[in-house]
Amino acid sequence: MTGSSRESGFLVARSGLSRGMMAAVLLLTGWGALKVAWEMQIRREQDALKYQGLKVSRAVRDQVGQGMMLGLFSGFKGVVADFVWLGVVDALADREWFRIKNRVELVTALQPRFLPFWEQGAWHLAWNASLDRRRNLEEPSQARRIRDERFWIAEGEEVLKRGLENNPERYNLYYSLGWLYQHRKRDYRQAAHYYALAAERPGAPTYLERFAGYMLEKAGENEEAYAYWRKLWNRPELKGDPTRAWDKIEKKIRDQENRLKIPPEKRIFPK
Amino acid sequence: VKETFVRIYVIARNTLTEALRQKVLNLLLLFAVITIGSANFFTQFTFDEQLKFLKDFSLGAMTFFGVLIAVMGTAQLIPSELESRTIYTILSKPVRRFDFLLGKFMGMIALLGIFLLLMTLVFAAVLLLKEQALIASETAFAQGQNLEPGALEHSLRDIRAQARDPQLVQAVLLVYAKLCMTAGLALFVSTFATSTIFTVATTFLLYLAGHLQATAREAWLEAGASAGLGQQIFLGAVSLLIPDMASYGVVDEIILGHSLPWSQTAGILGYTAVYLTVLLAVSYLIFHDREL
Repeated sequence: MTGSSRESGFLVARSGLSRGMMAAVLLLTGWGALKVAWEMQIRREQDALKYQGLKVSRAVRDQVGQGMMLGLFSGFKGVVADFVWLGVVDALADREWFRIKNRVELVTALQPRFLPFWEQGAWHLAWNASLDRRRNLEEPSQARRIRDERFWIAEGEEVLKRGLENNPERYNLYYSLGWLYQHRKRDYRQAAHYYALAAERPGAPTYLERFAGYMLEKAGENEEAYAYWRKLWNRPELKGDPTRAWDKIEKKIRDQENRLKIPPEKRIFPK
Repeated sequence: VKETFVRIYVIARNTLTEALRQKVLNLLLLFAVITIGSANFFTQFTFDEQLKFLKDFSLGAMTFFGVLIAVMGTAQLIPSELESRTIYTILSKPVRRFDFLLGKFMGMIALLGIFLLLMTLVFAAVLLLKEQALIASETAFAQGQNLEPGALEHSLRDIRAQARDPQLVQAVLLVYAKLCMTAGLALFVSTFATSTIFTVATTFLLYLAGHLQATAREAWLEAGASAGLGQQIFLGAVSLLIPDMASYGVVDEIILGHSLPWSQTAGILGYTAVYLTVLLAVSYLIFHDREL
């Protein structure tokens, strides 16, 4: 460098760039073109692995506040999501259901692949919020209380369905949705449908496969339930697995064969 | 060649020794360890959430304090030598500026490695303690409950799988790569900066811009003729000159329990290594012509 000025905090050449500086600029620019291609390749691989999450936008900034926005800009998305989730706990104590709804929407947008955010978020809405509104003594009209209760159940259901769109390969949210249909909507056919879907997913606990049968019986679909129990029984390759609870399946088949008056020659367990 | 390596090694060792004696850096390490230790205190959540919070806060603390150590430690490597005038003694011996620069950088990444290893040990200990506590509480909860056969075993298996996830090794390596990249940026800035505060401030800005580089790159590549010339030049400069720090965000996916192939980790580590080599070369070219 032929000369320099230090006033502005960095070295500035007085009479143009030195050879070293020019070489540095050329090297950086040449590498820049290569690195952009490399970065795009890395990003394509990450997209193929279905890594996803909310892109930082003005709408997000308005929801999370400036402090947390700085966290997002600094690469601490997980920690920011955790703080948003901690806010759900605070709102729960204050029974601020719409605040919880907003926070659940935000946290699931930040980390859509973390299942407990969907599961617990839906639980807060479909159970805690809906039951709170159902027991709301400040509302004299029972019709309105029931309407409010159903509103929050539908919100919880919506959360789980959006969760399923983001995580179709995991069993957990099918199970949660089945649970919601069973306990909050008393729609046992739908519950059986989602429990069966949950049981088909990899990593699902083996007891889930029996839940679909229980729900079909509760829905009064005895013939379908009988066919389902028979299907579970006719898996000789799994007979050594104690977690399949063969004794429970046998009892269910015997009950249905009696209830449906199945002829002895067609029964699995003749009298 | 051997003499060059010896010179670089000696400078790196001295840099490491001096950095280990710095109270500020040790204080930051202490804060990091305390933060990781206190990540164990989220107990009113499900075990999935507790383990996620612990991993998020621990790896977040490693990154946050690691970045502070990397920037503050690296930013003063050259200015401190200039202030104490030891750089003139060092460079008057048969030590080239390249040896000096590389030795200083190696000393700094060794320091980051040691600090990260210590933080990782604390993290592993806290994680194992959490695993034991969660197993005990799930087992106690299951007593007297009419659970389906296999339900408790399924939960315990989940806890163990999450607490002993071998992919956490990849996560720590990626955090280390990110810290080295930040130190590399700080070294690059310090070769043309004349004050430590300028280096620190500029490196933090580059670190933040690096997390938005992918957005700028996409806008640059997709904008075409619709963007103005000034906008294209700005987006192009950000895309070409700043590293994509968001690519290290896959650590979040590991925390969420998703499978991260080693090939993906190796790709990011390779990108970091090549980027650091280029940064060192550019830093040398600037430092070589600098009037001391």
